[in-house]
Amino acid sequence: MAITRKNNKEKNPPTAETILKGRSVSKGIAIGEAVCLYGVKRQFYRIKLKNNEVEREIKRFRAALRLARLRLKKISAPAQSNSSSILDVQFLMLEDPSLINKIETLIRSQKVNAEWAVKEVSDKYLEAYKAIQDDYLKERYIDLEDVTERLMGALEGGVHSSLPLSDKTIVIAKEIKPSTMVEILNGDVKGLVTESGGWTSHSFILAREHGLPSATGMKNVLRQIKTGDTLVVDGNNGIVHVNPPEKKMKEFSALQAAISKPGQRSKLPQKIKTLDGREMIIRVNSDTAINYLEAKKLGAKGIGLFRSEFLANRERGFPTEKTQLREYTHIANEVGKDGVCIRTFDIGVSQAFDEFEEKEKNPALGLRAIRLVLANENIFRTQIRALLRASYKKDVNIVLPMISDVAEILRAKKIIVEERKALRAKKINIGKPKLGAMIEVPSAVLMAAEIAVEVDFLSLGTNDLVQYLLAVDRDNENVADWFRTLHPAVLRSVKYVLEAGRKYKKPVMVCGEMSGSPVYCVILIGLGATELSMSVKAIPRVTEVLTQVSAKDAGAITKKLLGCRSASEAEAMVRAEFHCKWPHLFDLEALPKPRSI
Amino acid sequence: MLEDKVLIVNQLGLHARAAAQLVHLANSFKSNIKLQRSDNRGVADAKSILSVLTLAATKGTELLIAVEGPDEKSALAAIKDIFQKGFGEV
Repeated sequence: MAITRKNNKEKNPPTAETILKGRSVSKGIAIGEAVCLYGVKRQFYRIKLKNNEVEREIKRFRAALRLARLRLKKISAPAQSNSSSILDVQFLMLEDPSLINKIETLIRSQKVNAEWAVKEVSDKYLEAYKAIQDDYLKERYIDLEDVTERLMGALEGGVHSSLPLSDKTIVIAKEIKPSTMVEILNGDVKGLVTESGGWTSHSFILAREHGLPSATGMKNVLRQIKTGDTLVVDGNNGIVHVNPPEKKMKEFSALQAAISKPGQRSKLPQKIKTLDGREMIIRVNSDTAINYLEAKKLGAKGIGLFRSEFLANRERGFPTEKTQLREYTHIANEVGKDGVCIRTFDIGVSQAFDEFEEKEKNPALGLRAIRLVLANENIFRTQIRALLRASYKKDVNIVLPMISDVAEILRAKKIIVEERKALRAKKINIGKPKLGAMIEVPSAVLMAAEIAVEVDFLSLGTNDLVQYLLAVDRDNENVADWFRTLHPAVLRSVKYVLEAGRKYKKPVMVCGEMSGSPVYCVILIGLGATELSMSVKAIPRVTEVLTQVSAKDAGAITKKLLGCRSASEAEAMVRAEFHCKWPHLFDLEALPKPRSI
Repeated sequence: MLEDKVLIVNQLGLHARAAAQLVHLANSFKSNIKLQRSDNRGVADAKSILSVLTLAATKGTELLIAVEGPDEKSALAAIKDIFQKGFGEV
């Protein structure tokens, strides 16, 4: 990688152009404004405050300090041993006058957000600690890292704040975690630039699928690009132009217009059908009405997945019945008779409660989703009441996340019946929401028939299913090569669930990345799927593909895939068959590449 | 202002737990308490755990204590005492 700086010879250049060279990971050209993400564990950003916001930020920081101390007190109270002396050190750090003073000074002098100031100041200390010769003393930087983490957590109120993304955003980061990537794809960003992450990294696979121009291999990218910089990402050559002169911008705009696909969007068919006439229902995964309305324009019918936990994130705690009712009613009004499937809170215990500061070893296998709300029934009952009320004369449906056993459904149903009775007794208007179960745990796949009998519909969550079935954490770059959506075990599981649905006449909706991918959606058709739910961004391309393949052809290829002995075999087959059968639809670049495993 | 010198005698030096003890003690006085390495390689505010830890004071390090304030006499005595007793580890 090389960096060349040259003076800008345009007439009124605000800054000189910088050109960064790296590698291409997803083709296309993106023009927009940089938003830098910092941190690996927490991805956050720098905000420049207005003069009148500074004091508010100081207050916010002090409140976070109090919250962090309070949380620390809660976990240190019972222990009186070694561990409490470690926590004592951390407690003193949270009270440290020079630390607090330095952070507040930085907020005031640089007019930056508290997160940024905390990070800057603690980084300076960490540098000093790491320079210490004595190993034992040196190790104390871990405590400071911990304290910084606590402060950051407190500033967020314990849950992730959402990213400040707009339709002009180009995201800049050291690397992008797939979970952050999913959030990015739910928005409407233009491109990605990172320091690391390989061609096969999950985030870039997603970027390619969504046609998001991306470049990587930019050393020290966060020092080269600042939030607010104007960027051109040339994903074809792996080059980023930072603050390019206007003339160059125009050239790129023209180039961008030339390579973007010819508009086929002028007239949308009323029904989306495959070449041989199988009708497909496309829904959108959306938590907002704006997103939904955009999807509707693209032909989507209703919301297939409304992630209610975003309310918990926004409200920094579980929302009240009233708040939930208002939100659900609002979205139901917008969606109308096409309907919305609201998934009950899908969050883990450490996200949900402050006192669970001590992290679960395996949160993905821990107390989360349906387990969490059944263990804390009041949360579930509140949500059910809000959903029952919101469904009055409206098409609101309930989806239960992370079902692993029929018993969970039976218990949920019992609670729903009880709450229904109680609301009726109070003469409160309620509706009749349909009940669905997420199939995303392998045990639920094997029990799909029994589960189908108990519910009105099934939702196949392919992201989690792949993770659980193949025992692969998709956020873990080390095992990226083991995350194989085309693994025959995944395909057979999907088929099994679709068949169970058909047998008991219960609709099966496939949500998750698989349905939003132009390649995988063909395979889903081949497996017999008729309902797909995906992000707004994915709809145009998936629709384009769906309407140009026949279910029969897809079925023939899928049949062969189901007989494959390994993921590699299946991937190679997809690459060869798709390219041969539909060369006009699939560029070789966008098809699975051979991997080492 | 009062000043005096102390030597770190405990095996682990001014490590986390010892530093915490020191900061707690310093906080119980009104006076300003400064610690300076005799080799001039660092100064710390005894009420700030982070600055005490950055002293990186291992066994055998000599520190200069400087105390100024209304209760400086008792503060200096108490601080000296805790160092001499090796933070209860000797």
